[in-house]
Amino acid sequence: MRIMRYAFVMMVIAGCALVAAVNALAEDWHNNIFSPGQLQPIDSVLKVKIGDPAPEFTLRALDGGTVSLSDFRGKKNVVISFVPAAWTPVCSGQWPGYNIAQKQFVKYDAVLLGITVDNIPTLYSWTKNMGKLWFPVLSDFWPHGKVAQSFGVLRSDGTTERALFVIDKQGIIRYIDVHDINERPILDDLIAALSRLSSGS
Amino acid sequence: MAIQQQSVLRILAGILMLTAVAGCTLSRGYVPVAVPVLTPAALSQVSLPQPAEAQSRAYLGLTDIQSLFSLADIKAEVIVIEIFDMYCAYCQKAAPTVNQFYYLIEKRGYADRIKLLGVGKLNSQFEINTFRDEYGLEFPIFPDPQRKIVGQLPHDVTPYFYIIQRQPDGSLRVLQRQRGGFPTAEEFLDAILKIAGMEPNPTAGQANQNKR
Repeated sequence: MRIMRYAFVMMVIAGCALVAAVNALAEDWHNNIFSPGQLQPIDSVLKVKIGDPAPEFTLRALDGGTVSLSDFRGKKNVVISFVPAAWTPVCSGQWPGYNIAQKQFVKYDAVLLGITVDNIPTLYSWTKNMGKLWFPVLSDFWPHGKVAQSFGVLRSDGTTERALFVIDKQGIIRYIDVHDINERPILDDLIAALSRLSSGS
Repeated sequence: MAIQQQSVLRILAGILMLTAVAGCTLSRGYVPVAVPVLTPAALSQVSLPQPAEAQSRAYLGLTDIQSLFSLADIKAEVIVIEIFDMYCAYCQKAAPTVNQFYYLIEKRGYADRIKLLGVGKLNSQFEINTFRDEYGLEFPIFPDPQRKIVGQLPHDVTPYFYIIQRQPDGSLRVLQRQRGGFPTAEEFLDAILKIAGMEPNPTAGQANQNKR
């Protein structure tokens, strides 16, 4: 009888320990971020310029489907956010910001597509710590970096630049920011670009 | 044999108990940092730009309009500073609780004694406005795109909290620094009242009646 009581107490404690450990791991996201150190700010040569038609692509999305740039032709402006790699410092703190700026994108009739060269399982694991993202996350993993290559933002180490492209409803590139990979672009500039697009200037 | 079994079970129970306590401590989401490295002199020199909104200036008790003000200018016994980043998922997760904390200060009658402000690390005015709008924040928050403010307040991750108390001689002292969020507004306020040695407010009941 005593043994049973001990066993019961231990099971309860083990349950608490498991739940606590899982919570602790979830809260410990900060410590799972890999720091690559200071990198060469830009390590690729753009293949597109403002006024060019954006290269067409179809990529696998995190939700299991696929997304093509042409899906939005004539319907929505498109913002493409290339971030260099999952589980790295600046990238991990870029999309969560866009996630609470949805109203700004909606205001300017734009969708956001987040793209990295990571595979789907990695993106799943990484982004689930960002809360529920309202925008599609796309994997340019295979053929590795093909879409990034077509825009000219694939770096020599196989990651991408930290780059933003705004593409209008006709599929024309209207804004490009290939940013210093070590720094986060401020939201002001991107939203100002969308605003200009909206006003036709 | 039965005694041996009981001993083994007790040891196992002990190990599990320790694991649970350690896990629970971590899962609270913060680890207190008990190192108030800022001297009162350095703390008194921490300066911020005057808030543009009259409501924020009134809340902080800033009557003399200058381009900058120091923490010592804030009319309060205790100042709580949150260093946040609009892009930080943890800060987003903590935001509703921090806002509840702001309302709780008011609800429990400490609005004149405890002041809360936030500093958006590397955030522009537009970015902190986005953060404010998303979470309905009503306490003053300051943009800090060049890290001019947070550079004066040593910290590691965001969100990060400074709890500062005015001393009888008017100087300021860091009571506690804390990384990460907090479980509930009530627990955070109670902890602050305790470490600041502030008595429960006898008028809190009356103050509650007309507060949200």
